[in-house]
Amino acid sequence: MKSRIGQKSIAGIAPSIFVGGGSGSVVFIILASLILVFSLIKPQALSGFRVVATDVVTPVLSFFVTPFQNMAETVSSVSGIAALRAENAQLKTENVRLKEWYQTALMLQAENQSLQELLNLKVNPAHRYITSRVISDTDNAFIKTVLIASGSNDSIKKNQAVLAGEGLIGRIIEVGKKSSRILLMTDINSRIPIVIEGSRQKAILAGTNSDFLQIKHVPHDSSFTEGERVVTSGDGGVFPSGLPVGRIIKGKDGNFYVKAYADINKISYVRVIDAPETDRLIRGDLHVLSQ
Amino acid sequence: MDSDFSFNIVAKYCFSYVLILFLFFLGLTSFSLPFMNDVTPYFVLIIIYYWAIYRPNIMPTIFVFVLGIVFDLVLNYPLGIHAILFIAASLLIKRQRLFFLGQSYIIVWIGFAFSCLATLIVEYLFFFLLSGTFSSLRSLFGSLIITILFFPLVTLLFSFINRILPDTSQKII
Repeated sequence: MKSRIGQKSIAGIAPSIFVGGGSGSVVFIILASLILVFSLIKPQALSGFRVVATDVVTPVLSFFVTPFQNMAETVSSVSGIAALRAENAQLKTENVRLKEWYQTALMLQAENQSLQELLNLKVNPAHRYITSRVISDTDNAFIKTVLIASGSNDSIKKNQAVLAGEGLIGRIIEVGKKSSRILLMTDINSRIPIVIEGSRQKAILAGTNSDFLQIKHVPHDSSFTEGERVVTSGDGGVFPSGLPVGRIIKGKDGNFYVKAYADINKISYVRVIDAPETDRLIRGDLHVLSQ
Repeated sequence: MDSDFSFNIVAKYCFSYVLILFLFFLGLTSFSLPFMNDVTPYFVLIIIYYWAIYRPNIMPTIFVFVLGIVFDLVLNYPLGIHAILFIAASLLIKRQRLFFLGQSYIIVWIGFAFSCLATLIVEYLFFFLLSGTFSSLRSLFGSLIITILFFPLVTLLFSFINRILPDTSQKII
C-alpha cells in the first residue's frame, strides 16, 4: 500500500506569521522598527550583541575574502612588472643617498640621547604593531568602517589607532574575540585631533563621508598652505602624537581640506598600534575634577 | 523509496539555501579589487527579488528579517533598517508576483532595476535624515548599476535551482 505523501511547503508547516503574507510582514516590520528606534536611542546597548555576531560571522567572511585578496595581489603583481625596472633604478640611486643620511642620523641620534639625558626628558615608548587583514568593507556612501580578522585574542583594544599604507586610517571602535571594527577617518562621525606641521596650528579633523576631510575648530584668521603635512597631535590621549595623517589640499570650493596619505579605498591589510597608555592621563570620577 | 524521495527534496532545498547564503555573505565581503572599492553589488536584493517572484516559500518573512538583521550587524548599519527595507521590498514584490510570472525576462530585469533603485533611494533618504548631510551619489549609483548588471548571472544560477526544486503544488498519493 502506498502511503500518502503530501509535499508541504514551508507555509503548511510553520505558523503563517513567520512565512509571509501581509500580517506576518507587518509584524516583522514593526519589530524591526522597534529595534531600529532602540539602536538609534541607545547605540551602545547593542554594541555587545553586534560584536558577538561579527565574531561568529568572521570565519565565513575570512573564507570569502581570501580568493579576492589573492586575485588583487596577482593583478597588482602582473601589472607592476612593467614599472619594476624603472622603480629599481630609481631606488638604487635613492639608496646611495639614504646611506649618507643614515650616517648623519646615527650621529644625531647619539647627540639627541645625550641631550635628553641632560634634560631628564621622557619620550614616548616605542609602539608595537599588530598587523591584520580586512575581511569586510562597508566603504559605501553612508558608513565608513572596516572589519578586521583580529580581536581581543590578538591584543586589540578599543580606541587603538590604525595605520595602512603611508598613514593613519582610523581607530578601533568595537572589539570582539576574533574580529574588530575600525571607524575610518573619512566617516562622518570621525574626529581626530591634529596639528599642521608647518604652522603648528592645532585643529580637529572631521570626516565627511568622502576623501576630503574637513579641518574644524581653527581661528578664523588661520591660513593654510597647500601641501602642508598634517599629523596627529596626541591631544585627548586616543591617538599617539606624530602619526602621519595627510596633507592639505585646496578643494574646488576654495576651502582647504586634508587628503589622507593612506589610500583608504584600497585597504587589504592594516597595522593596529598597540601603544601603552600615556601617563599624562588620570582616571577618576568627573565630580572629582569639578571640585 | 519514500524516504529517499524525501531526502532528495530536503537535499535540494538545502542546496538552494546554501547558494543563497553563499551569495549573501559574498555581498558582505571586501572585494579588494581596483575598481570595486566603494561600489558593492547588493546580492541580497537580487536574492529577495527573484525568490519572492518565483518561489516565495523559499523566502519566508522571518528569513528576510534575519538577513536584514545580519546585514546591519556585520556592516555596522543602524540595526533594523535593512530588515525593514528587505521585508517591505519582499512584501511589495510578492504582491506583484502574478504580474511578473507572466512577463518576459527583460521585463523582470527592468522590474528589478526599479525596485533596487527604490530600495537604495529609501536607504539614502534614511541616512540623509540621520546625518543631515547628503552622501556621495557616485557610490550609490555605482552600486545600483553593478547590482543590475549582476542580476542575469545570479538569476541564471537561481533558475537552475528553481528547476530542480519540486513543484510546490504537486502531491503524490
